[in-house]
Amino acid sequence: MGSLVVVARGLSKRFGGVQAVREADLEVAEGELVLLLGRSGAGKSTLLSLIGGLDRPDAGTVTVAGQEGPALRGADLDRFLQKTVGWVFQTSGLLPLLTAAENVSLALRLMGKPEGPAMQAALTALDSVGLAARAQHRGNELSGGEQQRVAVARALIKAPHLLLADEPTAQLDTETARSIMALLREAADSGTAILFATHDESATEVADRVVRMEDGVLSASVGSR
Amino acid sequence: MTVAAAPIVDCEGLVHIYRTADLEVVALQGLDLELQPGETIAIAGRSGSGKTTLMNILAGAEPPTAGRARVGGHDLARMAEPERERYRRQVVGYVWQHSQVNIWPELSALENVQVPMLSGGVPGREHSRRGRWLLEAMGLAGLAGRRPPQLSGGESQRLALAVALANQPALLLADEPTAELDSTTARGLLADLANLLQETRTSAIMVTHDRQLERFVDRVVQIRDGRTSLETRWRETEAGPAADELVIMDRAGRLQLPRALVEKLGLGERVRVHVEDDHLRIYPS
Repeated sequence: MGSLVVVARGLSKRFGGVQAVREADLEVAEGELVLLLGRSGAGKSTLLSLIGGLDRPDAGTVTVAGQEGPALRGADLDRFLQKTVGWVFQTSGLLPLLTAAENVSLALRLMGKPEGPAMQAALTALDSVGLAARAQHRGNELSGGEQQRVAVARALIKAPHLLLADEPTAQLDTETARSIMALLREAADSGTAILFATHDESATEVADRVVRMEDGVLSASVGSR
Repeated sequence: MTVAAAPIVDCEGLVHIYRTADLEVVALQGLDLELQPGETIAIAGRSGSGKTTLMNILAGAEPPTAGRARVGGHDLARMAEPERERYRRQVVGYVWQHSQVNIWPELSALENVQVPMLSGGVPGREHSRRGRWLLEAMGLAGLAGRRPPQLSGGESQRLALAVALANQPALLLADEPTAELDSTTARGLLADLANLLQETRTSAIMVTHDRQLERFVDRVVQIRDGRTSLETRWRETEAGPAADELVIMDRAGRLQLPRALVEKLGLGERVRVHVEDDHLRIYPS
């Protein structure tokens, strides 16, 4: 394993009367795919949000590639979310009337890259997720699985240190879900640190390590592969 | 002589046929529809009535099989691909039913509104100012820095609408924009949207099953069997709001009478039409 990308220590978060995350310690190394396994409501999304800078912990610290996401504000936070972490969620967040290639290229355009090179990079990224043939199809012409592939390409095109995947397969059939899991595995093999939250036990097949979460508490990691 | 403004949407005799492996489906069968600039309508109809096909054609997603479909001077039946692409980026805005599908979860609300502008017609120096203005108009002024996971369902849908309006489209297409919201949240959102559309003279077509949405648009058009059939306009009376329901007659003089009436009066395939001084009577034959 490479160097540590995520180092979380004692992360806690409470919403009203619910302790969503309780003193979570977690590490993810370069090229490692860590599966965060638990039922819906276990606190997985909250933990991902804390690590990815979308929310602030009540207690504890977390760094991603040396940066403390939750402490960032304004433009620093925007940059952190644009470059350091990539996200894939349950739904793809594609603009329906733009092509897959346009959707992916926008991730680079947001970072200031000019249109031509951004589009070239987008086509390469779509090729790497097996969607070269669908690059010119619009968001609303793509199947659910294809949309999630585009979302993965859009997250990876920024070459983030960390990819956070929050139930990316929840709305897909078993076979399509497997293909997205395989895609995440490939991304880890090419060096990205991945934290993959899911309730689907079958995802353990692609994980380097499995961490279980129940009522906001992480249990000891189990080696998987 | 007064000249009426050119309609923003002008469909006449619109026909659309899908071919699947062993089946032809006639989804639109000579549909007529006209919208003036700034006019908003709701489209109602059962599933399979042709609503979704109409929205896809108006979105520039596919050309109609036959008939006329023009939006803002663009001929949707004949546009070549470069024009089609520009049309989709700048002339129409489109909101999917599930708001989370249109918006990008790790970007702030303000960044989300600016994303479409990167490929649209808004000059770069205007992006931030226009983005903030749109968020404010959609009731999200204090939330520009929030990310979608930190927004409620109603706020997410408000953001999705702001994203669809980012490039100042002439026509907004929304598929069930209030389907996932409770009625109080939906009413608040529709009121703000109606104001914004009016202020910017943007036309809108919203597909809906939500009866309360009808009160926020100029008229409600029912589609049945691939044609417009009934039109409802709400007006205020002393006794409260009242609906005027009209049967639509197409340009060839065809009427689609409401099914309930046809059944109630036992109207068959032939009817007797009597001309009175200023109206017609229709009898079972």
